[in-house]
Amino acid sequence: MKLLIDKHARYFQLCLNSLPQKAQSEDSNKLALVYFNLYGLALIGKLDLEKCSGYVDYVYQHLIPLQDLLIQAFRSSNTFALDSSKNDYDLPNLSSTFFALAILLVLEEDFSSKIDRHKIMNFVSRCQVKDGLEKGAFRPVLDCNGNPYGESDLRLCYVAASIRTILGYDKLPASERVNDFDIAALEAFILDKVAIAGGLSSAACAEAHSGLTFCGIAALKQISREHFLSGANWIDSTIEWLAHRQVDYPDLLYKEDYEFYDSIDEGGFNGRPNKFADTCYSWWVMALMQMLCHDGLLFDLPRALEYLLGVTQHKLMGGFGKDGQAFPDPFHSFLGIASIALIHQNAPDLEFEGMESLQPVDVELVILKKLRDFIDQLWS
Amino acid sequence: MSEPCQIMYSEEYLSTMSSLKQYLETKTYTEEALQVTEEALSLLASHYTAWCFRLDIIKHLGKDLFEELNWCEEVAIANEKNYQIWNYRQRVIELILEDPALAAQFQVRRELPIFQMMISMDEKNHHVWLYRNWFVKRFELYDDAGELEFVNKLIDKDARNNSAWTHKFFLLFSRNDAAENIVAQELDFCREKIALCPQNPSLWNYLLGIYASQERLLVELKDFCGQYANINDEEIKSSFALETLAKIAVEQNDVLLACRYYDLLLQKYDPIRASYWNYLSKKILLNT
Repeated sequence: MKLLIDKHARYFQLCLNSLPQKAQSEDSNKLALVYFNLYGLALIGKLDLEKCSGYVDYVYQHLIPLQDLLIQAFRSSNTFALDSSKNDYDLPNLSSTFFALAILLVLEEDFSSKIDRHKIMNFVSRCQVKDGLEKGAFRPVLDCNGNPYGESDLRLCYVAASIRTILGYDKLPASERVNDFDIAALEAFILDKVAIAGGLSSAACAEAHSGLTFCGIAALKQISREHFLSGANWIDSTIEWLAHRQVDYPDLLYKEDYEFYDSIDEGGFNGRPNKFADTCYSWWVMALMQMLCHDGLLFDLPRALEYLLGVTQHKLMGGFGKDGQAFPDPFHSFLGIASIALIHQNAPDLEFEGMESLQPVDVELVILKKLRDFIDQLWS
Repeated sequence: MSEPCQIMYSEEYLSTMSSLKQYLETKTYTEEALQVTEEALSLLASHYTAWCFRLDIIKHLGKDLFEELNWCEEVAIANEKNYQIWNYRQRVIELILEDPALAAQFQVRRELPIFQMMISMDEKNHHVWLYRNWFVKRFELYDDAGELEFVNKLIDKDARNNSAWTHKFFLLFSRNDAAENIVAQELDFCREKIALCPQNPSLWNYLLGIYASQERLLVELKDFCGQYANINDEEIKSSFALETLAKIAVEQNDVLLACRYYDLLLQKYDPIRASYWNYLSKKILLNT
C-alpha cells in the first residue's frame, strides 16, 4: 500500500493555482478551499511557506472595513466585496472568519497585532442565538442590521468554538474575556442534540450524523473539557454509535442486496446507518473516537487504511474522491490525508509507503499539531 | 498579489454578481433586484448575502408571502442540494405567522406536497428531514395521523430508511408521555419488521431506543433475541440480536456470559469491530 505523496502534492498545488469554472458554485466557500489545499500540503510536509507568502495579504483583503467599529470579521469571497462607503451588505461571515484565521496559522503569520481578537469575539458573540429553540447555537452571517441570519447548526457551533480557541480566548482569565459568548448556552444546545442511540444532529431528536457529531463534540471539547472526564452516558452511547460507523457486510449475515450496501465500502465509514461510506467520514468518525475514548481508535485500522489508499485515493491525479468512483476534490483530499495521518499517529507499526512524510494532526482544530504551540506563542 | 485557488468564473457568473453588487450598494429594493437575487442564487445557492437581501426586498415591497413560498418550492425542486432554502422558507413562514390576517390563511397542510416531492427525490435527504423535524415542533404535529402515516409508508417501502425510523421515534417517543398501548403496538411492529430483516441496524436502534426512553429492562427481549442469535446453532441471523443479548447479560451482571457474546462477535460475526468488543469486555471485567 502506498500513499502517493508526490501526486497529492501536485494535486493540491494544481488546485492552489486555479480551479475550473464549476468551482464557482463554491465561491462562498472560497477561503475554505484555500484552507483544504494548504493544510493538505502541510499534512504531507510539502507546504513551501516562502512560495505562499503572498497569500497572507490575500487573506487580510477579506477583512471587511465594517461601519461598526466594535466588530471585526472576514467576508467569504472577494467577489462579494462592496464599495467601503456603501457596504452594509458586505456581510461578515462566521465560517470564513474561521478559515481566514486557520490559513494565517498555517502560513505562520503573526496576526495578533493586525487583528483585534476582542472585536472578532464580539462578532462571534453576535452570531449566537439568544433565545428560542436554537438558543446557544450560531448563525452563519450578520444581516445588514447586525442580526444573525441563516440556519443554526452544529457546524457553526464548531466554527465559533474554534475561532475562540485560535484567538486564545480559552486561556484568558474570565475577567479578560470581555466579549466571550455564552458558553453555558452553547453547552446546553450541544448536549440537547445527543440522540438516544448516541451521535448528534442539528435538532433535538433528528437523525444523528457523523459530521455534525464531530462538530458538536469538538466544539464541546474546546469550551469545556470537564464533560469528557465524567463518563457520562452520552459518551458511552456515542462511542458505540461510532464503532458501528465502520462499514462491513460479511456474507454470513448480509444475505440480501440493498442499494446502499456496496462491498467496495468495507473498511470505510458512513455518516449514518444504512448509508454509503465516504472518505470524509473516515475523518469525522476516527477523530471523534480519539476525542471520546481513552483506549484510542477502536476500529479496524488496517482496513480503514486500505479503503482510503486502495479505493478513494486517485491513483492518476492524486487527491481523494468521496468514494471510489468520484473525481478528487480539495475537501475529500484534505480529509483523506488527515485520516491517514491520524491512523499513522495511532498505529505507527502499520507500515505503508509515504508514511514518513505525514505530519501529526490536531483532532479538534484539524490543523497541524505543532500549530497549537504557535497559537500559544501568538497570545503570550 | 498572488491569489490562491483562482476560480475560472463564467461571464454569466461575473455579470450576475456585478449587477447584484450595484443593487446591494444602493440598497435598491425593487422587482429587478428581486430578479437578480434569483439569478444569483441559482448560480450560488450558498450566497447568504443574496438570501438576506431577497428577504429584505420581499419585506420592503410587501410581496405576497404565499407566492414566495411557491417560489421556494420551485427552487428546492430545481436544486435538491440547495440547503439554505429551508431556513429561508422557515423565515417566510414566521413572517406569515406574525401577521394575524395572513396567519389565518396559512394552512399547515400546505407544506406536505413539497415534502413528498423532495423525499421522493432522495428519501434520506438530511436537510429536508431536519426541516420536517422543525415543522412538527413548530406546529405540534406529534399526534397528527397523517404525519405517522407518512413515515409508516416510507418504512414499508424501505425498512432500512434510518431517517424515517428516526422521525417515527421523534413523533412517538421524544416526549415523555408515550401511552402504554403505543409502546406495545410499536414493540409488536418492531418484532414483525425484524422477522423480515433481522440484520437491520435502524430497526434495532428503534427497538432499543424505545426501551431506553421508557426505562424498561432489556431482559424482556431475551427470548426474542434468542430467535435471531441462538449461539448453539451453526450460525445466527443477526449480530444486533447477539449484541443485545450481551447488553442483557451486562444488565443482569452476568459478566462471563457477556464476554462470551463479545467474543463471538469478535471471532465470527462482526470481526471488523474487534477492538470495540475487546474494549467492552475489558471494561466490564474491570467493573466487577
